Amino acid sequence: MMSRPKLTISTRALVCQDNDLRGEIYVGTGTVLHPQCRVWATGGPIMFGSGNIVEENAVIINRGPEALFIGDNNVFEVGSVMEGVKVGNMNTLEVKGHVKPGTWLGDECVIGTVCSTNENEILPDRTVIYGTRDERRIFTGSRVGQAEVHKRHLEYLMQMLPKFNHSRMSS
Amino acid sequence: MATMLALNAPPGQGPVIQPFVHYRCLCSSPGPSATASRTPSTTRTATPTRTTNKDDKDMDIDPTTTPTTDITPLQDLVPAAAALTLHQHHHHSLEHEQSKAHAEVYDSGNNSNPHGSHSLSRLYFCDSCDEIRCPKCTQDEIVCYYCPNCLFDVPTASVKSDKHKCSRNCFECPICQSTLSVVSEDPDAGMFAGGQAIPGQYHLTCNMCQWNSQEIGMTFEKPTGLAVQLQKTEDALPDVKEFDRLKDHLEKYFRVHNLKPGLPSSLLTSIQPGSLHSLRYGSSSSHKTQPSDDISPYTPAVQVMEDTENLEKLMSITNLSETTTMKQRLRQLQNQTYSTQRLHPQRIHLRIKKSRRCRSCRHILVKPEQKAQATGFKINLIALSQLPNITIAGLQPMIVQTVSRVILRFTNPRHEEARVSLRYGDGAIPNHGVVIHSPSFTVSPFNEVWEYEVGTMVTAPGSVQEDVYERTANSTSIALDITPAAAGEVKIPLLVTFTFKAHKLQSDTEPSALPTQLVVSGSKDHPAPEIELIDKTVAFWTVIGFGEALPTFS
Repeated sequence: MMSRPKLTISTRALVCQDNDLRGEIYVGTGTVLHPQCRVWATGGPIMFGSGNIVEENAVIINRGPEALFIGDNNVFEVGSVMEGVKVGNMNTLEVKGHVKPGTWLGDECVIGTVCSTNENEILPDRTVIYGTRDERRIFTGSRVGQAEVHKRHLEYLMQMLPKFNHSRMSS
Repeated sequence: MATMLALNAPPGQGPVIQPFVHYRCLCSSPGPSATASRTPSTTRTATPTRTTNKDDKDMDIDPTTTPTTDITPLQDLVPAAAALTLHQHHHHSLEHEQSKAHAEVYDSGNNSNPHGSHSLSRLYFCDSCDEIRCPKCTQDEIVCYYCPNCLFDVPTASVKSDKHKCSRNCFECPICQSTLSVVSEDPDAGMFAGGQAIPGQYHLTCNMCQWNSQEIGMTFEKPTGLAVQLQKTEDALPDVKEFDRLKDHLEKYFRVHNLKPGLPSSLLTSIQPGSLHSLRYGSSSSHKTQPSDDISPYTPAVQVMEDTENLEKLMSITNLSETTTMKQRLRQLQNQTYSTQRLHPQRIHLRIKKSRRCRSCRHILVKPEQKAQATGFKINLIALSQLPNITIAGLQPMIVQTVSRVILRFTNPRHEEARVSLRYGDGAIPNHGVVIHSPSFTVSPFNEVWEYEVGTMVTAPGSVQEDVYERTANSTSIALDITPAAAGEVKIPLLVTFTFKAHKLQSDTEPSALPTQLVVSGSKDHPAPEIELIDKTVAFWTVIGFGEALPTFS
């Protein structure tokens, strides 16, 4: 277990202090890592795309030997756990959502609150997992205004987080 | 019986029997004579002497000899009643009746059968009857209708015409039954009032399953009054139109003759006996019916519809997600479709607020506030806030023929000090040996200030230190020594007599019944004022279970 993480932080990305980062992590532009999150690149490196948001108490673990590629504009809400192998774009892991090891997430998936996937499965694009019994469906139509809301979320965080938190630099 | 699910039990055992404390309501007493004695009028006029100690009318504890409530065996009530007759001869016969009825009620509760007993959280306490009321002894009435989503108080008159559903913008998702939100195509619609209106600009989305009303082609022009916009399509459904025609046809035969003014007349109440008769036997009407009551034959305007769902399609379904679940189907009772494509968002069903009323004296026990947003109660006479809460604070494992000590904690919810007397009922089968170390004790009043001082042992000033186990802020714990007589679940019936000070209610006094020769309380000349604290006593049976007793190692 590496004591000092090897971070490569792009310009305009924001990685706060007071979070638990281990291993080799690459953070793309516009991505925000809140304080108190845990990103453990213990098995292999973790590569974030642009515009991701990792909130407090979110856990992202990469145990496998290959690198974990996380796409663009994903949201890992508070308490979510990501142990999968690959993440696409515009996904949302809601509060305490769980992606089990070996799972691939496509694009625009929504893992609902306290819902989890199965292990080693490949979720097609636009899968929604919801409800107390982890029911799923593929949603058609668009999530109206989702892109716009996400953009405004990022802008707000970039403005407010540095006021109250220190940020890390690349090491 | 309080049992635990086998899922939670440790492996290798059956269901675990948990200890419990249940209170008995008087409705579990058998026999018509017991109920006859319970009518308020007879007992109230029969006990004008007991105005200093206003007793529970079924379990009178003898107050004459000692002012404090020492437990006297109930068999002494008859000689005590006889002693009373020295003072009022004309009440003698009534007293005998009462004591007989008391004995019956005493006997009825004197068993360890948990049937008919309730946990304290389920019970109410009528303060004019001074009795426990279980849910069966109370009746509930609807106070108001409201929508659980928008919290709008629906006026009672429009509930029926709205078919008990919210007539504003509240819809539920056909897939996951969560609330839908209204969303506009134009993301800046909120900012610019009255911008370019796109036809079909607004639609419904579900936040949980991401369902979209555009999937079934349902869009709206305005973001408000969605139910009204849907009303036209709802009314155009063929079965609704058919039902209206049928109703019109039959209505002229169901003319209401004695309509009470103001009440809405539903079709059910207006059915006359004659017309039902003619419906069954056709034109050969008997003496009661008039010729005009014959129903003329009715031809439906719409032929019976073929099931429009394609049978071929249904037979070729391979994936379960293409069909509707029972829950989804039963939400849409008009057509109960098999295909998820034909599910429509339903308007949200209204909810009600209920009030509870004592069946004997018709006083309201629980009355919620009228407004939908307010969750409090105007009147909340629940037993938890009126009667001591008995909990098992300490329990030793029970073994047959071995004495084990049990600690019972009595918590007083009232703001005045109260006195509790206990008595073990010997009518249980099997009859376990029970020794109560402190049969009579006081419990300190409840004080909100002491809630913040955790674990303080406060002894009420001036009280005699009885042989109680422990005394904390508003609770008293006492010890019981139990010797189980047989293996299995140990349940004991306990008669609890609770004496407390309460405000005298104005409705309780019947001035005509007060005999003049008896002076009520210490006050000499003037009549007692309305707000005054008088002693009241309630006695009730409880059934306390302590779990299982293991057989002796023999």
